[in-house]
Amino acid sequence: MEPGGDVYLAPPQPGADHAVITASIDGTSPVPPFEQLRAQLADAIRAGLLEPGAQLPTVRQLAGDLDLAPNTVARAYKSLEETGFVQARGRKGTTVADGGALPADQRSSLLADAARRYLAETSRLGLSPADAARALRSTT
Amino acid sequence: MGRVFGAVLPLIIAGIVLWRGLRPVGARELRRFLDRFGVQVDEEAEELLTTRLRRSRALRSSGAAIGVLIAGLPMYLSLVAPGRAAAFAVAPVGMAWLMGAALGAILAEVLVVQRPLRGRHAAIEARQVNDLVSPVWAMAVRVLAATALVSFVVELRHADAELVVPAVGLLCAIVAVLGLGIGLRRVTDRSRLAPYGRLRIVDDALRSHGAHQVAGAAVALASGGLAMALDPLRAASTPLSLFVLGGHYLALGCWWSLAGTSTWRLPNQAPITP
Repeated sequence: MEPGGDVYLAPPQPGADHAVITASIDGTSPVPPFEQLRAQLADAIRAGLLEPGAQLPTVRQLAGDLDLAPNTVARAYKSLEETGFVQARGRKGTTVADGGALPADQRSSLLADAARRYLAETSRLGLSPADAARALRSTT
Repeated sequence: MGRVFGAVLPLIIAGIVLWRGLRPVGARELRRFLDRFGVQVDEEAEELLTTRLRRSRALRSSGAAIGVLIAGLPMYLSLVAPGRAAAFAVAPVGMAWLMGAALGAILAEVLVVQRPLRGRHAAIEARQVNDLVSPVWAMAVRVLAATALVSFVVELRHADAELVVPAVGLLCAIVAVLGLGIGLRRVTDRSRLAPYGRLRIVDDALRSHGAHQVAGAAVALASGGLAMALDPLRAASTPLSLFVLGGHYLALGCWWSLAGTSTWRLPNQAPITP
């Protein structure tokens, strides 16, 4: 679960056959609103609550519902698109991507970038690569 | 005496229309709305509903009242400048009441500002215009506007054509298309009051009501516009003449049917069973 709040499942509306998936923004959280939204949508997609092909609300609709600036929602959607969770289809809106994850080559590239940043930070702290690897293993 | 009465009558009618439109929403009107959508409300939702319904009705009635006053122009002029009254006894003036009411209905939905009432929570569900009202009506408005355009172009070819009335008719039809598009988009994208629960049902009911009002008004505006655009051609055939003379009443019937009786469009927005 990523920091940024939990996605919530509300009971189905009368006459409907599916639960209502909701997202919430905590104004007191140190996590920026766009990151809260991004994390909740990503969790919902990973958990299968939002299935591939499911249409997400438009930026304007979700911004109004969450009382956020449209740019904040757009930023969250952009981040989700870059990590392969959603597809922006222009006038057809934004839909959940197949697989809910990055293509393998993009995943490898992002992982390598993250590893380099981690090693750079641990080196700055005076730790060896072996120490850095040990610290990683202890968190899992 | 007859001319004085004729001049006063539009003022009386406009006054009645305005009075009825600006009244608070009564228990019977509220019950009719709740029964139509199968909604149950608590005190908070009831106040919200009555305020919104009254505001919507007030704008529609204000537009209609202004239109009635404009429609009375020939009668006022017959008192003060009889020689000029005939110049204003034309279709756009005569249909001003319908045009005013239609514009008022569209504006009533375009101007709504709605904020979430339950904090920053949102349902992750896309809202589409077609969820609220059948796309058949949008197509109908476009067809009416296209026909008005064709009629206007046909009239342009005649050297001695009187183009003012058809031009106004075409303008009304274009405004209808734009008003429908903008109005339905505004209704669809409006913030939800709440993502789930009874307040969500109320929100859906208001949205459905608003969308049908916009669609009905656009049909009425486009039909009235087409009738004006066809005005120079009405001598060509009896059905055409009948449409020009009475088409807007048919449009009014469509509007009433759409806005007064239509309910849910989507099956999953079925009403709560008490």
